[in-house]
Formats: sequence, C-alpha cells, structure tokens
Amino acid sequence: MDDVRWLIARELPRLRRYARALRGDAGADDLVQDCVERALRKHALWCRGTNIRAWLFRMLYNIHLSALRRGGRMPHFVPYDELAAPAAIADASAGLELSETARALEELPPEQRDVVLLVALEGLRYDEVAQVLGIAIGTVRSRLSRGRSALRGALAGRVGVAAKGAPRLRRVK
Amino acid sequence: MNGRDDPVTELDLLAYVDGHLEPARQRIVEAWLATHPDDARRVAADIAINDGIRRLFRDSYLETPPAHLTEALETRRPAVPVSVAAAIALVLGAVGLGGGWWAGRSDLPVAMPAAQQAPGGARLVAAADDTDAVDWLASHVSANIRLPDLRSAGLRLVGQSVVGGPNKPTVQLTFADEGNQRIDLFLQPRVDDAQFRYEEADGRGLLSWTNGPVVFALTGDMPADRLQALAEQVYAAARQGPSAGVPDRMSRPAGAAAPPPGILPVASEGVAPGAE
Repeated sequence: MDDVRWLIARELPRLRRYARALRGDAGADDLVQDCVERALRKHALWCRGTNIRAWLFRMLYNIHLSALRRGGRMPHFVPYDELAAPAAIADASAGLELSETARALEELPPEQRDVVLLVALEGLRYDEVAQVLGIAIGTVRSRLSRGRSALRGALAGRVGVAAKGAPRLRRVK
Repeated sequence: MNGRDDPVTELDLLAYVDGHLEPARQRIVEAWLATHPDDARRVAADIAINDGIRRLFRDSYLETPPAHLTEALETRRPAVPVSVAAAIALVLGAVGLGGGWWAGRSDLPVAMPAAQQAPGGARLVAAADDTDAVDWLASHVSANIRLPDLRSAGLRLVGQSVVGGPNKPTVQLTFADEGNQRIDLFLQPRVDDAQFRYEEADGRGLLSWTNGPVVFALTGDMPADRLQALAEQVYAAARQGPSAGVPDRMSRPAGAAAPPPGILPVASEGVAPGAE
C-alpha cells in the first residue's frame, strides 16, 4: 500500500497539470483530491505492472466528466489573462503567444480540447489516450486532427505560427 | 525510400508531430515534408502549438502540490527508492572550484557562483532554513529522495541548505571528513530535460552517470581513484539509504548500461521526465 501511495504521489504534478488544463485554477485541486481519494480506496483494482499513470488519468477524467454532468456547467477554462506567471514567461512576445494559445484552446469544443491537451502535455500514445478518455482510438485521431486544425486556423494570423516562411521541422520536445 | 507506394496520411502527420512514428516511417514522412511545403508548414505549426501548450501549463507541473494533497499520500520509504524518484540531478562538486569551471552549463545550479563567494554563508533562498532541505526538495518535486549516508567513507554531513532561485531549487549538502576536507553534493530537479555534459579543467575530472531518471556527477579536488571510490559510495548510498550497504543489492534499472562509476569521458544523458 505504501508503494501505491508513493506511485500516486509521483503522479501528482502531472495530475494537477491536466486538472488545471481541464478546469482552470478554480476546481483543479478539488478534482485531483477526489481522484487521489478514489485511487486510495480502489488501489486494489489497479493491476500491478500496468501503467498507473493511465489508470489515474482515466479516474481523473471520469470524475471530471461526472462533475460536469452533475453540475451541468461547462468547465471553467484557463483565464488567459491570469496565466503567464512571470517566471514562466520571459518576454512579452512569448506571453502574447501563450495567451493566444490559451484563447484558441478555450474556443475548441471540449471533446477536442481534452484530446489535444492530453496528447501535448503527457505525450501519451493514441491508444493510451483512448483508454484514458474512454473513447475509440479512431475517435482520438479524428478529434486530434480536427482540434489541431482549428488551433492552426485560430493562431495562424495572430501568432505567426503557420505564417512563417521557413518551417521548423525539428522536434522541440 | 519514397512516399509514392505508401503515401503519407493524415495520421502520419499527427504522429510525426507527437513523435510516435517508427524511425523508418519518420524518414518517409520527412522526405515527404521536404517536397510538400504546405504539409511542412502545417507540421511546424502543430509542433509550435504543442510546445505552447506545454509552456502554458509548465508552472502547474513545477509548483509544489498543496499539503492537503500530499498528506494523504505520505508514506514510509518504499523498497526501491531511487528508481522511482522523479527526475533529480545530483551534482557533487568541491567547494572552491573556480566559477568559470561551470560557465556555460545552464543545467547546473544557478546559485553556484554565489554559494562559492560566500561559502557557508549567505544563500539565495532561505526556504529550508527551518526544515530539512532534502525533505523540502522531495516534497517540491514529489520525489522520494533520501540523504546519502557517507559515513562509511569517513564523511559526515555538516550542512544542508537550499540554494538557487525558486525556479531552480537546489539542495546543497556539505560533507566533511576528519581532516575537514569538504565536498558538496547538489540535488536539483531536472524537469526541464537538463542534460549534463562532461567537462574537464585543470586536470580535474568529473564523474557522471545516469541512474534511471537521475544523473549523477561527481568531482572533487582529490585523486581520481579516491573520487572513484567515493562515486561508488554515493551510488550505493543514494540507492539504499542510511541503513543498508550491501554492494550486491545495487540493482540497476532494466536496460541500464554498465555500472556507472568510473572516469567517464562521455556525457551521461538523462532519461526524459516521465519515462517509466
């Protein structure tokens, strides 16, 4: 049990990051806390040797969806004027770009946004994303494709991301 | 290879952006992109967007989880501590190294020069003054880090403090032997994919190695064989904690290469955060 606690504790920063991305600052830690409590109650259901991250993310996402259904309200997404802690963003132009990114994300349909965020933040494979979100892998691909297309469209004129002449193909991750 | 027989698909372009393609397929996609500027622009934009999303939520990942989240998860030390630790870099250096020795190593503690100017004195961050510095770092990065016990090497802990700014928290542990020769051990989270490189100056060697998500680097103003012996002590101590000390329990993560300690002319490249 101790080692399960420890494994869960390791995932806290990632769980909080995705919760923040799903809910904004307001409800993120409540969501993570619900997730941790449920994980501790149900830790026996986690199959040792399998990816505990996927297990936890799926739990987090299900709690998130249940809360949405119960509350009947849309998640409060990241307020783009509140992010950009000075430490994270060195200069004004980067800040502008990030706020534009946040705004574009906010405008995505939630089902596309959840996929785009999970793929970008956690680097999960598409089958793992499908497992976490409880959807088919083909659905993951199509939502990712549509979500990215919308983001490109939203950011093209504003950020210069797609407008630059010479494409930068090197992976930045 | 060309893309004619096996045309590049939408899925290829998505997976290329996310780095999920097999190397062979990746080469095919790259060849395709070289001759299809529209797709190349699109892929470049997607990569930039992914990068923006990661930067957007970077602080959420880096900040210390609140106590009400960690309290429920507090635990005794598990059996295999270091292999499950979050990304931590350890740098062992000798007090009094010239500041230039670290020049250009953005991945090293930013406070190193300041700490050297005021050895044992002023620190940039006093966050851990009234608490255990290692525990503080452990909670900061949600990692289970233990204080290496080097008593069997004749070294005792004489000081610990937190140096570096809040964005690069670094724990400095100072050990001394009977002759009061001191070594400093620095622990720093490497959540930004920091990569340590080997450097050498004035005949001083740096021992570095990777252990799972942890990069170790060891140096000191002492003969190489003494350094090597100490490196083995650090290796064993960091893996086993204060009580154990049996060399053949030095199990290594699957896929890890040869035993790390040694005079290494190569850089040890860390495992990316999140790698299992």
